[in-house]
Amino acid sequence: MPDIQLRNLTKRFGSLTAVDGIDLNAEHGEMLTLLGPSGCGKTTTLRMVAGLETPDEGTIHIGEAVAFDGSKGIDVPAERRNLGMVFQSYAIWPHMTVFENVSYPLRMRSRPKKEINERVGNVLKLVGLDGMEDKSATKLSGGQQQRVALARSLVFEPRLLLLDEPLSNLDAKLREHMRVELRVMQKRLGVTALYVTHDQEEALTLSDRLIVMNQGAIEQIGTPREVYECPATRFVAEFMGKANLLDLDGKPEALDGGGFAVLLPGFNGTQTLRLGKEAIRTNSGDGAHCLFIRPEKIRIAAPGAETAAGEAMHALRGKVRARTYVGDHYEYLVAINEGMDLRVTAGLDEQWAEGAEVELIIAGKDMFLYA
Amino acid sequence: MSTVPRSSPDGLGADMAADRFDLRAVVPFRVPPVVFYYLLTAVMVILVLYPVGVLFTASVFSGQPGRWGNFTLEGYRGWLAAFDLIPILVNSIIFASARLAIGLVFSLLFAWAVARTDVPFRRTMTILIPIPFFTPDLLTGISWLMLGNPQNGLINQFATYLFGVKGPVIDLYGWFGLIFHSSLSTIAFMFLMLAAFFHTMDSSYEEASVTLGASKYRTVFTITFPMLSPAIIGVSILVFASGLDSFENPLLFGNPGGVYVFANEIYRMLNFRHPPQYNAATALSVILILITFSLVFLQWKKLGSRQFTVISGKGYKPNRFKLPRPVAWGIFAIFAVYFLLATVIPLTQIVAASFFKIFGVYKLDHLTLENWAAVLDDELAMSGLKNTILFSTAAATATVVIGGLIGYIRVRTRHWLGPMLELLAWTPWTLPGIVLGLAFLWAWALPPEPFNLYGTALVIILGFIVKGLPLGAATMQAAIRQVSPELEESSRVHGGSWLATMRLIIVPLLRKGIFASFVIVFALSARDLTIPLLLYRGGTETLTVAMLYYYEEGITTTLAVIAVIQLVLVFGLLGLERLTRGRQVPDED
Repeated sequence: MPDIQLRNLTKRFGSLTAVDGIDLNAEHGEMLTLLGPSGCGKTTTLRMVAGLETPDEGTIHIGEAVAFDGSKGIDVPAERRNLGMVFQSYAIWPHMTVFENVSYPLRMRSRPKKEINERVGNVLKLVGLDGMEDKSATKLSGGQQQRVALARSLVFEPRLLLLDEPLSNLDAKLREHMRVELRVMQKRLGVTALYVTHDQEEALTLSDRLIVMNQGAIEQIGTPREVYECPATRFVAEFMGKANLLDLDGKPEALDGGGFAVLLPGFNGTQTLRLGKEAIRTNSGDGAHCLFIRPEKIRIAAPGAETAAGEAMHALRGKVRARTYVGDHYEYLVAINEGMDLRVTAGLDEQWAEGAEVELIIAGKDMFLYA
Repeated sequence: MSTVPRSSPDGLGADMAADRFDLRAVVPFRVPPVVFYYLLTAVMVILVLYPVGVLFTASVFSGQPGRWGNFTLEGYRGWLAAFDLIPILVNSIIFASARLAIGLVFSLLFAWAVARTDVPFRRTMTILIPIPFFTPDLLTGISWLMLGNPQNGLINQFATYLFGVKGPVIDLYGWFGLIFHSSLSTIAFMFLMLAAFFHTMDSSYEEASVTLGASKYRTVFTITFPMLSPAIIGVSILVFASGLDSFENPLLFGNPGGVYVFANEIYRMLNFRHPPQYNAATALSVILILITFSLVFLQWKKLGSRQFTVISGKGYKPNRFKLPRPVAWGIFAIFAVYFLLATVIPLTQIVAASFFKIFGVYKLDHLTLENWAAVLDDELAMSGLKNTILFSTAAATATVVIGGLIGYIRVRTRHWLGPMLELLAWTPWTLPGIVLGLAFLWAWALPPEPFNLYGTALVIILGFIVKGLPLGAATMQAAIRQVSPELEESSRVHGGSWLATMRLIIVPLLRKGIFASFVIVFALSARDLTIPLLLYRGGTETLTVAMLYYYEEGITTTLAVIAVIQLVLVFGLLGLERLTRGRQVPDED
């Protein structure tokens, strides 16, 4: 039985549908990330699970119990859903000490004093704040407040941990550090976590599975690698990482043997690209399509260079328009036709001057088509 | 129960929290919060709209509070047809405009100087200039009249004694005293409102002007004032409207000089005519409401949308104009004279008067505590003190609760009643005190027992609540806005019930706002004259009523003691509030 089950969950604010009938499951011990631009409904979804927003339709199951079922009039209030939550602002109560903050969930559950002291001590040790019990919450640094918030949400061992952009207020260095720590801690405690973020790097490194949302709907659910390498929709392709998207005029033509061909006009005449049938990511076959290639999947070579055997490789003739040094690599802008540029990332070993004629080598499996 | 073992290597213990929910909660029986919103709205309608409605109705009836009488338009006809309204209107406009003009000149000068220039002692100025806004006009007015009335004002007596001048050298009765004294607190109020805008304006706008070749002084008139003009105009309309509302100054300075504006004319209809002209007074009140309401509405439209346009969110670096020293000290000298006239002279005068045997004879061997001892035995003064403390405390407490609920609904929910409630809380802002008093007189003399509150203490308390609501509710709302909703949500999610969240999180976090709101309403109530003056009966008189009584009776020593007591009461609390506000929780770094 999954730890969270959302069915047809819907939330409207006036005429705006913030969350539009989404379904999802989170398995026990899984770190599940809701990723998307602001306003995509990810935070609203999390808040509905927490009981802070009332859905308009649908059901929420937490463990075996029904937390919300609109048709049966069941709406368990937030304080009885028994889950931990880390807020974006940490929501550390400024008028309480670290101990008072962290012990709050236990005090609300009327646990005996001895148990409270023991559990708070343990969880503070876990987040690396032991000995800070009596410190005023406002005297803590951002990173420490973050740990207090985490400790508070874990101290009563909830089945489910909700995290609402918990790292977004930390500086870059600390963010990276906490990302790793969060992941380690979550796995060690075996708690199921639902994590909301708009930072795709965070989502990729943290999650077991991630869910990309857009305009209240789910665009793709998958492992970080699936989502990054085989985006299900054009939105996901554009949202995740850097992408080249080329608008094509013609329709893909089916080929014998399952694949199909698209036509790409270039300096050296129109090229036919042969793609596998799994490269078509959206069903609508009509109208304009666009071709998607990640910059790091393109190799730059001297004109006429040999392509590696064994794979369906394509070579496109191009001219280097600009080169940018980005520290650990170069980023090139290569024109393959008038008004048609590709972004290419390449190592520092080889350099191509601006204006140089080059050949771009791309494997067929790295190209996808979206309607 | 979950079948997965939940113990962790960190020894966080065995499974504690049931994975099932408390079954009581699954079929919740809860009163929906909306019921409370409607209840609160009903209370607000009864408090605010009901008296105004009764006042409007009563303006076309010939009776008096407690008895409608017959339908009549005589009240309006008297004012409109006989052109009796014209002198009142003209006087009111002259009074309000003069007050505003003087207030504008000095408050702009002071606000600009302390916020944008390197004028000396600007921190001291920022603290001292607003004081006259907090000292009751009744008190400073009486104090100034002790000095400057044409018959036996101290200044005139000294002039006669020292230089043998015949006749008064200064006469504060009439126009001069009226405008002079009311301008003092107007400058303070306008400074209080405008300094905030000058402080928050991003100085880069001015720097841009200077780099483009405009002189500093030119920049003030081409950039600073025009950019702040929405705020300046908005505040001006507000001050003009409050000039029409003002009661104490016209009563003290206008009446003896024969200058009648709306407020003291309404009071004259009620108190100096036999029988009292309720119909005429009520009709005039309605006319006044309509005028102030349109002005405040104008101010809302003017200020509402553009208020924050020049306030950038980022921390700005105030770049102060360097003034030539003579100019800087000139401005300081103007401030010094203002401070002397508005605060030092009237307050030392009244304090001195309370400690000397005979008013005006300030010889050391006349120093005495007899006045104070006498007041302790004075029934009116003591009952006034007790009532003022009691009524103000009750009103402030109730206002904090009502204002807090309104602020909470407004800030935390999207319910349509939120803006409605906010508007209701603001409505009394457009009601002059004397009008509010008259409306309450009508409204609470109407209902049958036990709801007939005519002559009770409760009706005065309700009046104070209504009068305090605009500022009290706004203060609470501002305080609630500063508390992130996540602080409450975090409590709910981690197991805190509604009540626990209220008790352990919301109230402790709002305690400064609650205290500030309480103090503001308490101070407003303790200094208010109009509401108790129209609503008191034997036994419910307040300190202000006692003060006015002893002033009119000419018993100056008792009056001075009562004034000092009131001053201590109001300033003691305000000082306490400032002190607690000073000890801020250190910001997170």
